Amino acid sequence: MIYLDHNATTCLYPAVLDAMRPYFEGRFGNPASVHAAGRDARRAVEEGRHRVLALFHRQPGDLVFTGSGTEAVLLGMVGAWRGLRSRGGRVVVSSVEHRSGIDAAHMLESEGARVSWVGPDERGSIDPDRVAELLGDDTALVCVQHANNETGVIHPLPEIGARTRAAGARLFVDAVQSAGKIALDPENWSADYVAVAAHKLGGPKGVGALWRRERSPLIPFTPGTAERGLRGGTLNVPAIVGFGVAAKVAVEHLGEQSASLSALRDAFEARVLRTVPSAAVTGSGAERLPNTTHLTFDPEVGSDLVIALDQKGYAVSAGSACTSGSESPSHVLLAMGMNADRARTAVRVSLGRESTREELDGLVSALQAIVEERHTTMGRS
Amino acid sequence: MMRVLVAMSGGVDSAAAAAALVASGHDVTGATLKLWCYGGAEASPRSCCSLRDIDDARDAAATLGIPHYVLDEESQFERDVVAPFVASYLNGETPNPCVRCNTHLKFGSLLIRARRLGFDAVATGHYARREDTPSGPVLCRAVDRSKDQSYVLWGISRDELTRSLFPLGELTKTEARETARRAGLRLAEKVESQDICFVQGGAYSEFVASRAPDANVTQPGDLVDTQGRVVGQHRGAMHYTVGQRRGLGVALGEPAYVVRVDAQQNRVVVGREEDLLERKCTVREVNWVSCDPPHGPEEVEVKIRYRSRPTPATVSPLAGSRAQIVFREPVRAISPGQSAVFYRGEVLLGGGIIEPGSIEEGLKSE
Repeated sequence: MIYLDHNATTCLYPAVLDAMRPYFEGRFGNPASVHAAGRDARRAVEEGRHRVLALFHRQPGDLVFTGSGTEAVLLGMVGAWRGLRSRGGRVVVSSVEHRSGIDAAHMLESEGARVSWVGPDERGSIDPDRVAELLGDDTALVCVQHANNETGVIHPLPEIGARTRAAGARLFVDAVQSAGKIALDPENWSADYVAVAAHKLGGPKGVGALWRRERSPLIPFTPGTAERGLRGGTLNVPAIVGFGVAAKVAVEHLGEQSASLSALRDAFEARVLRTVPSAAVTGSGAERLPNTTHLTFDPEVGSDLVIALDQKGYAVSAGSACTSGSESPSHVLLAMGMNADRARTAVRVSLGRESTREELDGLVSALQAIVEERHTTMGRS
Repeated sequence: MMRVLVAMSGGVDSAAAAAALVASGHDVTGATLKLWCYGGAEASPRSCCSLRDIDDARDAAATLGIPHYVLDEESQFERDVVAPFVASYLNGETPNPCVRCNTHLKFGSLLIRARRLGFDAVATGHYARREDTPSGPVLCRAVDRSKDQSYVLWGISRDELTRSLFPLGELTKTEARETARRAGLRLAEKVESQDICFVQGGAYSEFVASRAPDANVTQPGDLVDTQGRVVGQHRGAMHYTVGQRRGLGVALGEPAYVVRVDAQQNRVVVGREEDLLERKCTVREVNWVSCDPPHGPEEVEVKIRYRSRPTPATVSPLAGSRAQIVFREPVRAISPGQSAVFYRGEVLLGGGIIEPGSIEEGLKSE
């Protein structure tokens, strides 16, 4: 199998597994314990925290570990709103958020928030002016992802953040998809809350984190004494250790990795566009993550391209999946104004550090074969 | 060996069908159609579909070691099954949505997707058989008569039948369960619901009323006898089915039955048991699965509901995919919206949907 679905999850860095292993074996202490084993675990957690903070340019803030990226998004959006609701009941949320953000917004509505949805332009990018139009005295929170998980489109956070702050509201950023791929800069974004997850950047599954600007309001929904009362529950020590190492490696290699991935990706896109005439790259006019290509095809090609590629041994994604794992037309593409039949042809290819030109050449050939065969079949029947 | 896509609902039968195909050496892939969202408006957009059934199907496929995909067909299900179901009720009929689902989803769009993905055939867990004859495949009743589901398959086309497999056609339900058990499937002991999948708890009329709250058939109206005299009140014509006896609240001196539902005037006609006996009806959307469409009258046996016995009749083709059925002996309670399915011995020849009003035409012509 050729794995080209790194936006879904990544393989562990070898150094990550090595660092985690002792914490599954002899060093199994609970960081909340008084004794030496507890202190050892505690030290490991704090080292992990320090390393993950490097993802945020070490800007002044604190970090709350969670059980996943989704939980970090939920804590960031719901926890922040609970702390800010005295300011007003309105929350502005981008309509192209990952499902976890969309779900968190629905949860906010059930808690009494009034959610205003801000849609993207036709390239998939959130326009700061459109955000500004929705901001009012009653706006407590603005929620916009750093980069879209399906299209890879990077939103102009510095401008969005400046307007949010000027209106007296706070900015939550879902950086789960961008962390480890491009630099996170909450200071430049005027962001108060940023969510990340370990498994998207070479770390283990089962741990995420919410970065919070110092003293930004946050009312937790998991009571307990861990994480200074912000997220109860015994800490997942091995995963936090792994997260720390993954963040360290990612930060150290960010520049070079980003350059080599985007070169590989751009060459791949050029080959696809040349060999499959009905293909189009989504968001090609916008700034995008270096590893992500989102393709759609002539609607006549039909759905299930991801299944056809799986049959040929290529692991890619349609970009959007509900809990059932079914491919319904993506809310992101529909929000961009794409018609549903074209949206059903979507294929997201996301590269990782181990991706090669040969793998991508193989994928181009496979795509070409599938699309040509389908054009022929459609013509015949 | 064939490459087969098995429609896996999450129930025992379709999982057993997949297990049987794997055991006989085919290259098998499972697919579950996501047809319907149960989440209410206030629920999150993710709390949808019958997730437990999808999980059960996925788990069974994993146990069998075959790939499994979930295929979204919600919009087509709405268009081809749910909307016609509602329209049929509003027309005073008693529809059978499973027939339309098989015709349009399982052997319609799923087969198209399967062909596009390079599969030779689609298989389901229906108790029915395909027999290959020199003149092409024919659809036959299941060996286990008590489980025979050929009735709900009359709508598939001849071409679709050539690409369809029914691995359970030779098995009893007990044997199918045993097949699932032998394959180590955790759902082997699962109890199955007989409900229509998109209407929870069998509340059909509530479902229809929620879709069409202003329709006249949801409003109270007159119960009339066969002479047109008002004999009582009903709570909305769509709540009544031909042959129904309970809940009428009228006394005609002997047991009263619904003999006709008049949706246009929101009237329910009641009569005596003998008023339910009919000799003729017409059907629409006629399809011939196992033979070419005949040009003249055909002597067949007709089943007018899932649980009725086939009864001798003559089917005469009419223009516009319609046909007239004349039964040799009068039959009881022909219900518009149900399927009339034509058999000859073991073979299911075709079928159609019973039209309202056609029964009355039959009466007049006598």
